[in-house]
Amino acid sequence: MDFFDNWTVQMRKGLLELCVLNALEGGERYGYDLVKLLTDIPGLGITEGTLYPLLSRLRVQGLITARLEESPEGPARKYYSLTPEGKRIVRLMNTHLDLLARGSRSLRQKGGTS
Amino acid sequence: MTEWTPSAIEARDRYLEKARIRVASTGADPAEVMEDLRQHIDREIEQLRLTVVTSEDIRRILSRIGLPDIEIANGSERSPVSTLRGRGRFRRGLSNVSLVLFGLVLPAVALGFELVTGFCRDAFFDPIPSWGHIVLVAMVPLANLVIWWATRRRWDAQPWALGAASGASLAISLYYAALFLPILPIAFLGLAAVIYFGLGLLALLPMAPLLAFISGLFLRRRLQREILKKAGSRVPGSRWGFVAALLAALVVSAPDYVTKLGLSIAASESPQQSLRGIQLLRAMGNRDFLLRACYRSMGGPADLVTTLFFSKAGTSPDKVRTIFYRVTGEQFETIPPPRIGLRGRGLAGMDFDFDREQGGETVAGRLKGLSLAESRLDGVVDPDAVAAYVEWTMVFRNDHGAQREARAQILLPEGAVVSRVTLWINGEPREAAFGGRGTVRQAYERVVKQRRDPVLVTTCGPDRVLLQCFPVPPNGEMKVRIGITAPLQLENLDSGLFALPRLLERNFKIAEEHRHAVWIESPRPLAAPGEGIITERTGEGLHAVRGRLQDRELAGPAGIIRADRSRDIAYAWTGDPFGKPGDLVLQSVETATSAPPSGVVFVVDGSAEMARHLPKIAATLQGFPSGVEFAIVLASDKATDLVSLQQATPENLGRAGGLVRHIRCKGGMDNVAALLRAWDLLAATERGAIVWIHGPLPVPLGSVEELRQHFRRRPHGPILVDVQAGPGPNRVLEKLEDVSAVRRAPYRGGAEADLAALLLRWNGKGESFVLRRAKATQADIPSAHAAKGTDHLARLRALDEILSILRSGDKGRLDEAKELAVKYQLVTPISGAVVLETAQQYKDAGLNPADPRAVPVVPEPSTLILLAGGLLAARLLTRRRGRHPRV
Repeated sequence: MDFFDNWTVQMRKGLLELCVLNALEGGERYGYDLVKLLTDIPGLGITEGTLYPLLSRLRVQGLITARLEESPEGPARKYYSLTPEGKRIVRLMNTHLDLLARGSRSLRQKGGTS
Repeated sequence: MTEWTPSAIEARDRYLEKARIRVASTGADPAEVMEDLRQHIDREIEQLRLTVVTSEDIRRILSRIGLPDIEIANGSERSPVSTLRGRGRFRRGLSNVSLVLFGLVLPAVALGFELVTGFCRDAFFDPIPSWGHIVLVAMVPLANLVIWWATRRRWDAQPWALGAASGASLAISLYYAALFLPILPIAFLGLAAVIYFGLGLLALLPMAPLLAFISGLFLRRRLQREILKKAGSRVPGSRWGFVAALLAALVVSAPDYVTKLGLSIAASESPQQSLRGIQLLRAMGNRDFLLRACYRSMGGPADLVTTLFFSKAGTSPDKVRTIFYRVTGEQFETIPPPRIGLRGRGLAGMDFDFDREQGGETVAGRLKGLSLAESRLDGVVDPDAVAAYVEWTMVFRNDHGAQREARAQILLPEGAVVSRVTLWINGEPREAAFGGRGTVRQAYERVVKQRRDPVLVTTCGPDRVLLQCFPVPPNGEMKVRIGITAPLQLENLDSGLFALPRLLERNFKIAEEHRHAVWIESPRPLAAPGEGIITERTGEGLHAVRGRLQDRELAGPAGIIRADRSRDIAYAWTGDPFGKPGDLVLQSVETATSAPPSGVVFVVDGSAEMARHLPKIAATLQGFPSGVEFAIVLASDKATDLVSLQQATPENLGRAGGLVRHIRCKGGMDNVAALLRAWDLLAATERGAIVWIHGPLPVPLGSVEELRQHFRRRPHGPILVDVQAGPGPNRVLEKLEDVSAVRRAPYRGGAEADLAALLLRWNGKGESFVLRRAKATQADIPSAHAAKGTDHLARLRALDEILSILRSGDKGRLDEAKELAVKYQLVTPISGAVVLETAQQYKDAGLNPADPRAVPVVPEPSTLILLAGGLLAARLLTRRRGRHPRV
């Protein structure tokens, strides 16, 4: 793996949880739709097979919660939402990311043409 | 509806398996992730609107979904150091092994172990007392096996059936877990004290239901996940299965708790309550449960209902045995206990291992390993002297490892007495010493404790003796002989009947193929109806009946020998071997009045054993003499007047017969209350008679003392004529030994025939006779119509005197009676016979063994011929003088 590939992997590892939490910040989502939404994010390069374990882990850690709802079309549907702790964490993460992004941008402006 | 090809299913399952391995090492819940992935795949298929899913479709979908990337999935989480694949497999493997071990193997092993050994039954309680219980318990490992296999293979064809199986398994294992709860602490201790492998595993068995229940819960979760795909939601059919199985457990156990309830009521001190309990048991009780409870075992069946709702301690086995008799009319020790599976311990056969009555005065139940190996009856009948002598030699065999005491109650011919007892010690015959009853019993018990060789014979009721022989050595034999001197029962002056002695009760087995060898001789012609009996004239001019009889034949008509006699002979005499030189005994035959009593009350036993006799008895009653007052009292749960006192006519006798025929015989009845009622009905009647028609009464019910008091205080009151249907002990009659009013009906080999003979006599169609014996001198012997008899006449005379003293109630003459019994070497209510091993033992007991030269013997043929010659001479003398006796 070259330097860039490795860096993207590290980026994904760091951002994936934030993306999931951000996707749920707006409200409850059906698991299947959530997964589809996240796999469509360009650059994230994530598969459904990887997302489900992540969702399960976040649920176990208490950051998200899941509920089943009976569906007339087939098996019960699983809906995910943030827990209060999840909401708190996602706020902190976003604040932190914004801070990092601003800092990184400022470095690029200083290093580029002024 | 979408259809999957098998290869598509396989491809999906392979993917999920791989995914599970990868996810196992993350902080995610593998089961949840697998479920999510499965549903995602289903959703993809929905989106694609596929009607048939092929492996190619699955491959395309899966290539898009991809396998979990653990590094990414962990995100900011640190990955664990351990090997990811091995740990997941290990956990899964451990889960499977635990489910199989505790949900399938352990319950099956526990069931099999209990079926073969009966360990829990013997130590605590019986968890599988019936086949119904076995089926229910077997259902647990079977249901768990089906569910486990279905979840492994993901058979989702019959989810309702699987749910029902799960519910049923949980219900049964929960039911038994509750039953075993009280002994779980012991099981835990047992586990903790593992000495070696086997012992530790044994302690797991009581935990089997609880562990099976827990495994059942895990299997139910798997069912939800793998088959029903609704983790955490209701399992269809489970509730039905649970309720149905629980109901089945309650229904299968119903006989047990109903019986326990009935037992606890029947054991009440209140007679009314007790009767209610008996009636409940007769209607709804479980016979097998009752029979098991008769044994001294802790292994009574356990059920949840009585465990939860009846905290009262169980009924003692002694009381249960009495209740069993009252409910069924059977003696428990005569019935093989029920067996389930191969369990043979504790209740093995109907034999007892431990003899709790050793040295006592009760015959009690059969002892394991003890049997009658050989039996012979040798005797001689002297019809003209109206006397007989028979020797019964028995060999007992003990195949058990412990010494045994052989005990038997023997019914003697009416008016007979035991006059000889012999025991073989080291191959040599030793004669008994005769002494006071208490003295001989003490001597016997002392020697039994020392485990030496005694034999004891004492009376235990009218014409009944108890024979006790100890020890029959382990894997050895013991030989004893009793000699019985008996008067004949005269049918008329031309013939007399001699009934062979028989066993009423015994604690040893008699094999079906066993036969008593019989050999009876007489100077006069003999006849015996038994099929195995030959009647012949011997070369020496004697008559003999010889052959082999089954034990039950002894108690029937085959055990009666008829002997012809000369009607001319009205007297018999003999020298008294125990008196002074020149002392003689003279016996005269006198015709007795055969007028019927002025009032008769029939007491009919309503016990179950009587059912097959009542139709014939009802018919026989029609022969009752007209014009005589009669009544019938039924001995049932209460004494009931079946027919009130009235004059007999053909019409009311017919009605009475109908009532008797339709008596509902059940259980074992207390006859004493009915006998008391009968006595009261005849209290004011002169020459009244109670005719008591009953089966064996092996269990004492109620107190006989009041009845004894009635008869003893009014010796000229009603007489009690005993008519027994079927062989067996009679605990009431045993206590009436000293009551002179007790008589036996003329014995003809069966209750119906005995009753018929009695009624015939009362109708004036049968004759009855009295034999009077007295001391005499030469001058008293008539010159005609007299025959020379044997010493047995002297013994019978002595017996008459002893019984007369005892019945007079004169306590001042008891010693005189005892001395007489010892002198004439007779077993009477006041004396017994004991054989001890050594001279020192006799000396210590203050007894003297009989002189072997003075004991009675079965005479040699030559002696009998002499006797016959004497009789012939007497007859010739009579004819020459031309006299015909009027008797």
